[in-house]
Amino acid sequence: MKRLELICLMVLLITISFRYTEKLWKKPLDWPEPVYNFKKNPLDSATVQLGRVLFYDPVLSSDSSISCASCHSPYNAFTHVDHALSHGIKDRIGTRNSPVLVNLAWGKSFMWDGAVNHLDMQALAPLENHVEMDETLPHVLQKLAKQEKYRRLFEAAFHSETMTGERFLKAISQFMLTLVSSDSKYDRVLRGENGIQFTEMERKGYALFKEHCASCHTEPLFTNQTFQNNGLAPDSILQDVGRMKITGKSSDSLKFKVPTLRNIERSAPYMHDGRYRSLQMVLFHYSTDIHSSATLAPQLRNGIRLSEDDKRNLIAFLKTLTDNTFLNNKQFQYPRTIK
Amino acid sequence: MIRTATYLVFFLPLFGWGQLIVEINLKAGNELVELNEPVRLNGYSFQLEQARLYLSKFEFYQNGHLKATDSTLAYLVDLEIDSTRKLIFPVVQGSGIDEIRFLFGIDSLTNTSGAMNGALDPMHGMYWSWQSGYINCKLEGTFTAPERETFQLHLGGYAHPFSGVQRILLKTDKTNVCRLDIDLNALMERVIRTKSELHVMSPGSRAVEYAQLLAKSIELKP
Repeated sequence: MKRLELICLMVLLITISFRYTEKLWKKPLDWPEPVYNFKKNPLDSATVQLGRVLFYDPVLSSDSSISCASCHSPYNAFTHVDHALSHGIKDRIGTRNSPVLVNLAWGKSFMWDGAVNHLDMQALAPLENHVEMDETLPHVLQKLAKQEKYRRLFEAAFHSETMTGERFLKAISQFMLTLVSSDSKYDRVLRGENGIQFTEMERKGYALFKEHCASCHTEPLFTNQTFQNNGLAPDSILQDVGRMKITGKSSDSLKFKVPTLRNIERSAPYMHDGRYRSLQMVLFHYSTDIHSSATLAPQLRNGIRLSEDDKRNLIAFLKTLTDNTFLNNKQFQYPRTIK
Repeated sequence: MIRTATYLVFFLPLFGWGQLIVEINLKAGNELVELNEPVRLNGYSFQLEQARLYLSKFEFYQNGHLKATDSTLAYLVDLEIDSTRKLIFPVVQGSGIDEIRFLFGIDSLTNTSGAMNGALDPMHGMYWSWQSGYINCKLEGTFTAPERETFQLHLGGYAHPFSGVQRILLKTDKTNVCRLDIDLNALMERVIRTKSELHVMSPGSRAVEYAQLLAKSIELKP
């Protein structure tokens, strides 16, 4: 009998846990199943909140000047603005444009070259990078342990003040997992909400998008998460070989992860090195400025033929991917109320 | 960990369980290698300043049949911390285990499973941050041949074709205490003779080659 009671209790607890996770994170209708295994890190509000506080705290950097949010601002779809390349402590300049943080539960790999294989481990990369936060995980945990606020937040999240690398990383993951963008005009049109329709320009742009862009920027995530050479001429100063740095394969030379286009209106500059400051420049690249090389994506061998009208229509469509519900969500912003 | 080991020592026999104690030593031929103590071999000398390695997924066999699987996913052996050099496994008394199998390093499944705790917590400095993956073995030190030079070998990699994890199968006729010796001789000779790959810090063919040299040197002694 006792055994049965124990099993019932466990089933109840697991059910409650999943329901609670669902409140904090819900798969949008008709979206694929997430890649992230929530069973190994079930979301709860206290842990999400801890992750959020950590995300905005510059104590994560060696001189306490740079937080995750320094390069991933919520107002810019969690990327930075006005910088081609991300910059870290002491004005050190990195080699890549910071990517947006959105819909990460579906991420198969992270960073422009896919160097990070799991969301939980993502935060380690900037934390220990010399030109970003230049810290070490043990030292950050030591600094956090000295703060009463963090002892309280860890206790609330894990029922223990003990700060481990696993808990730290999983808390940041939990916050990042909540950053779901699925309420743009595009989403509302597809859901048929309140009779919302595309304008004529947006409709034409969507048709062009499906013809020329969707093979890589696949809906609904607007990325197929592969690594592609999209015909950017190599930068002679950065000399960034992209995915090849990780795999060592020449067939991966100059390939970078296909970024999502969600909220692209707000996430300039564009490309892995932030070389284009506007969507007009991006479309100029795809239509007339493709650099040919051995690993160039086959779809781009002849460029994409676009008239000026086509470009305007495409940009009109891309702007329908702006999700103001996401961009203005106070739950994602600096946690002013937590002291 | 020490407390757990103590419980095992005192209480396991009451339930018909014994224990298998595996003591891990780094060797250079017959010579025991300790941190910051010079080791002389074949006209050169080397000195380790740091030696840390992962052993994982221990399994115990009898006549080729799996008898027990260790519940601890991985052990981080650190030459600087004596307690990490002794692994204690509960085994059924008289179970006649004649083979131990384990991994020298961390397998790809664990490497792609996100943040882990215990020995696998990334805070131990055995996880690459710039590129995901555990460092299976970290050896740092100096050698004199005849000039003094430093070496840093961070051997890792979990993905094809540069997977550095090595599967180890060792026969044993003991069920209580045995020694696991890892002989650095072949590796250090290779490092010192070539002198071209003194700093291996990423997955690659050299890391795999070095890991294989270490794996081949592993012996279980009574």
